[in-house]
Amino acid sequence: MDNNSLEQNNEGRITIDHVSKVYDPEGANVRALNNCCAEVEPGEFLVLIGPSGCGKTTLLNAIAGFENITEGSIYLDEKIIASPDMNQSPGADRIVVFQNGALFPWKTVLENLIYGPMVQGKMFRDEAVAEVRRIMDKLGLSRSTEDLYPDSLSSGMKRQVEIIRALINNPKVLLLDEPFRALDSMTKSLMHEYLLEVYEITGKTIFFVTHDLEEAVFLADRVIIMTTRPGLIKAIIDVDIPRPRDFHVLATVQFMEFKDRAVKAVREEALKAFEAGDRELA
Amino acid sequence: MANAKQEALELVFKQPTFVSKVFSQKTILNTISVVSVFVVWALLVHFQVYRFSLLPSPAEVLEWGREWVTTKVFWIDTGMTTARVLVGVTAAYVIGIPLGLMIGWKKVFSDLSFPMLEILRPIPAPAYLPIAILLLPWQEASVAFIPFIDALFPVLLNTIIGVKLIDRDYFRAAQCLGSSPRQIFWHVVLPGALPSISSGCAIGMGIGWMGAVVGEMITGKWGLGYRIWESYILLRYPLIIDGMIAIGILGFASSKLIRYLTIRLVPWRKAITESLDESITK
Repeated sequence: MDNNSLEQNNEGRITIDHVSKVYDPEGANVRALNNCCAEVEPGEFLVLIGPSGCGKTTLLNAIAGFENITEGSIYLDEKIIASPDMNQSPGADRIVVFQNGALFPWKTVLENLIYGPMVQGKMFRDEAVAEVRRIMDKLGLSRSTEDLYPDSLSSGMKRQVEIIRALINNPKVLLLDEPFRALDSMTKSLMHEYLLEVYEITGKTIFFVTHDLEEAVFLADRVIIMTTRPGLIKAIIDVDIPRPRDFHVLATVQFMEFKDRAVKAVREEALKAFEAGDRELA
Repeated sequence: MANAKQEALELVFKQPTFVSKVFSQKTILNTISVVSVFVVWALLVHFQVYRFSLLPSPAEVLEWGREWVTTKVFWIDTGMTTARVLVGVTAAYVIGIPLGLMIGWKKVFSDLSFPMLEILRPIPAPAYLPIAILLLPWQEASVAFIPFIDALFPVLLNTIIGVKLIDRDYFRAAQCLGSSPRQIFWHVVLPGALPSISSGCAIGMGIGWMGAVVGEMITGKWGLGYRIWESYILLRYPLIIDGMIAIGILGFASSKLIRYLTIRLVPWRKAITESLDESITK
């Protein structure tokens, strides 16, 4: 990897083109995604929000290559990454940070961080270690954590390491699946600021899934609101709050207005989901 | 300030003194548990309750045992049994662990082998002995075959469960980071299953001792199992109990040894307590 590995670039456009997904366990025919169209611009911070079970994780999994789709196609830049006749194919150009965290508990922080470049055969161990240390310094992760196992880190720090483990591979996009859901609110707000900082430094395209409205508006350039089953895209809100943002934004009138708009849109959907009584799908 | 910290440290890490160790509740209860068995046994024999008059008293057993351990026969018996256990159980590890990893990991292997294994599993190991004697070229191998069969299933099943319990997200994360199936095997499947494999190995070792003794009672000219049976035939009753005690101690010690060795293979399991130590002492 060259020295520009964390520099801004024009890569990382995700095109979601008329994507549908039907789960058909024993003919149940559950339509999880219905004709979704969206485009994530290179370098954009996009947040996908919707009530539980609306199919947002399904969409993220389809982009990641964990689940196939039954109609439509998804592109990453010019490359097709998902279509009905394609096999699932996760790759290092689009890396997921998981809801409950997926740092390997049997590897130390350093081993976790060098894992990507090592298995891809991109670097020798020494090079990978040097690169990891460089990025740790840049993204503010203390080197004293290197030899610790993940279970001895705080939950916030685990997320930090996992985000860095993804970025080491210089992916085109970062896919975050409710990554801060399990954190307490103090840690959560610290992690929001950390993620924004990382975003400012790296300029990566970020596709972030959540059901927390405040989180969505605080982080996003655009918020996409998804409806309940069948999952389709209901509204898109442009959040024109200048960057860099910090927690002071949360107290501004502007933020409140955006949040209010999003609340109204999501509330209807939440009500529908509530009445339908459907369990979370994914 | 420094003093206060020192005091706090002493409060947290008060080194147990020798006296407090000896008189801890755990030690006392452990001692009671062992001693009471001998006391009850001695009383039953002394007062000739029911048919206990036929049994030797603890004092006789001790006397015979003391003499027995000075003879060459004792050491040959112990060596033979230990060797049979080690050969049988090691073979069970060598076959059970890789097989279990594959069955747990790949559905094809599981569908291919599981029905047959489920049928073989309820057959008690001694039932295999005639076949083993017919098939295996020399008698020693057929005796070691029993601890092998006995240890195989706990090792195999623990390995399978160990793999099955690995969180799906670890596999997905590894795929995202660009791992090949082979790398997933070495970096996710094997380490993820290790804690469970380690218990399987310890359980297998314990059961292996039972198997070896049974085998020696049926066939063979040496070994602790053979000696117990011979002592019954020759009316050397105290020696039966000495043999039982020897087997108990050796089986217990070898299980402990396996636990001790395998715990080194799963250092991340101790990570939480260790880092706690560190953060307090720093």
